[in-house]
Amino acid sequence: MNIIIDNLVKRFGEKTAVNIEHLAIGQGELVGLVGNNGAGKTTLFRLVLDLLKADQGSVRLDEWFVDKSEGWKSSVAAFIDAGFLIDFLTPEEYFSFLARIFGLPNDKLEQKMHLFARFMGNEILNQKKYIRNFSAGNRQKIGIVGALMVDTPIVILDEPFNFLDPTSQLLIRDILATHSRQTGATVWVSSHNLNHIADLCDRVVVLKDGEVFEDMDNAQHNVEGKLNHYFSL
Amino acid sequence: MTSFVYDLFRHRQLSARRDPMFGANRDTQRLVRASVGVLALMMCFSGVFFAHYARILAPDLPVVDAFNGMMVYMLVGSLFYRFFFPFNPAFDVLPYWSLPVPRKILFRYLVWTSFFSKGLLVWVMFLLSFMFFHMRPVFDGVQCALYAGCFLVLLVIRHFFFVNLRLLLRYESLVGYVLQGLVLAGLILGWLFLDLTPLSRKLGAAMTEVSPVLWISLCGTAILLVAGYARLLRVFLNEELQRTSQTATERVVSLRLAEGYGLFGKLIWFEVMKYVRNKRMVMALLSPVILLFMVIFVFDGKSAAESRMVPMFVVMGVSSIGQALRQYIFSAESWYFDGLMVRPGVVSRMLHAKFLVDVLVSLLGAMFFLSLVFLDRLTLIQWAACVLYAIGFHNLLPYALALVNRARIDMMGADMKQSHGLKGSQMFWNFALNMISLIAIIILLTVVPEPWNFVGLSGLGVAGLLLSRVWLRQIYLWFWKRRHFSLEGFRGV
Repeated sequence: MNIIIDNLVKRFGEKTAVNIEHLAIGQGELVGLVGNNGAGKTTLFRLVLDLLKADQGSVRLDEWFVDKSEGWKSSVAAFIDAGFLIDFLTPEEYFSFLARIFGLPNDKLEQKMHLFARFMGNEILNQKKYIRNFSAGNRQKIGIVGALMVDTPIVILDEPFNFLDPTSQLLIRDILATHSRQTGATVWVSSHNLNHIADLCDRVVVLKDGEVFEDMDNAQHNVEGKLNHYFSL
Repeated sequence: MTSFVYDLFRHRQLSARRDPMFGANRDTQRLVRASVGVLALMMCFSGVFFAHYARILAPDLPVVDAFNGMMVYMLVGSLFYRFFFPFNPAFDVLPYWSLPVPRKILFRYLVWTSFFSKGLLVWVMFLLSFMFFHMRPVFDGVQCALYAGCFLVLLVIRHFFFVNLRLLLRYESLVGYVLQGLVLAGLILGWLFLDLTPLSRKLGAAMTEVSPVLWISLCGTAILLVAGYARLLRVFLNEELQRTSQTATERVVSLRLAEGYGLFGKLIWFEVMKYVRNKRMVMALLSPVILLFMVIFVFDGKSAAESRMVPMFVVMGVSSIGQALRQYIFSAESWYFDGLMVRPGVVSRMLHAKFLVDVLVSLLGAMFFLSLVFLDRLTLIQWAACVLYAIGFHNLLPYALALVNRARIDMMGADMKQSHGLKGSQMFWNFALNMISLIAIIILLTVVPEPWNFVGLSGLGVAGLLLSRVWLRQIYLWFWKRRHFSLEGFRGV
């Protein structure tokens, strides 16, 4: 599934948060989005998910304009922040609810839980706790698992490495790479961790003041130096 | 997808059951339920109280006055209802927004919740008004139902738009805010229309008499409503469109003021500025305006001697300004004091400054209600007694709550939802303290004869004012004791 952004503008008062003339992400690409605070990464994701209304321009997921239809929703899974979680459910209830919404059968759900068991550790399932009572790191894990377990053609994750311990960061890096490879999904990830982004993504988009500053090919996973150079300026 | 609707409602039930308030401890659960029981009793008591007075005051009670009396049921019913459905349905649907769920289902859910929540309220109102008119047959059942139905439609529309529109329009559209304004205007007009005949008579009489005080009150009310709504609009736009964090900004400003200057005068100035900037100014002003409106129109022609409800409204009106503002301030209290705690003396100064500003703001409210003296609803002495009671006793409640909560004054006792983490006993005292002032004034006005009831009101007010230094000192001591033993706050500095 392709993501096509054309002439997208979003302003908050005087400030232009996003101003992207054209950006296209193809089927199966694993794309990283980097930029300093306030560069517009989260706003861009929210626009793509139609959680914000653009002042101008469009976001298209294949033939669907996100602000004009809802058919795309079953093809997109995302985790932007804790607001995506239904925090008064237990993780098991939350996962089973998502599975039902996305039409995932029970046996498949169990397989998925097994697949993410190492990532979740022994701290998430069978804890008899509501999501709101988990630590920030574990809530992050629940959100990521919720987005990845449903096998949608597009996965969008905003700063998935945040709050995670180093082991979990490495695990999620592998999980995302495997997910993209095995399912052919388009994975779009933002992060401040240049190391992870450079290792994980085949392509890196740098945002600056809401605009695409650079769109780098990273098939050889060699852009870290370039990114370091850019951000050290 | 239809099962999704069931899920939404189920989740809502789950969320109600799993509210931290209920999960805190068993004492809390019992006390919350007991509080609801007491509130139900209060509702019945209010009904008897107002029905009784309505009968004494006007044997040939106009329908409009009777229904205005019923409004009280709605207000109490609203409070009652909030215990069972303490959640904003707009927040319920937020996590579902990006899921493959048609938005129309979410919209429908919001309409239904609006319908059910307000429907319950209107049902209570209808039931009670029917019972009331069964005793005094002014309207028959069909007319009661018609009246209740009109209210239901208006309330559902208002609730739907006000609570949910920001979410539905994804925080974006100015059209949404204009629509809200229209709905608000529609609601007010609808209410006036329903009460048209008697009210229009009164308005006509007032216009021919050309009472300057009345005109000033009316113009003031209109200006405040317009200004208040404009301010509300601006705050919404600021918050939702620009997504700025007002609290964070205020925190920085307060820290800078407290650390950079730490002067009493500066703190008072900051308090005043915060009042002025505060979005609850609207609520603070609307409430006394509505009360004044009711006193002028609903009890038109009834002097203070005839109506003992007037003093009660004055007390409520004067203190409501402070209360509304204080609720906002107390919700931000924890960070406020956390930030200031590095300079111990500032906490004490801040408490005194806060109290002083409370008194000053309430005096402004008192001046607002002075118009009632000119309208012969109250004598000057009665007005003074009410003001003293409001300032010295009724306004004291939040500070008393701070004492009960051992200076955990970030908790606003009136809002049970925010009492998460309190002990059961604290919750009980919070609830009792919230009720004590109302019970005291009702007893004084109904049981004690004149002029001793007003002497009692003044006495309680003066006592509270004179002892203010003592209890402010106690709050200060509790505050430091808590910080010392728990190290609370140090972690965040």
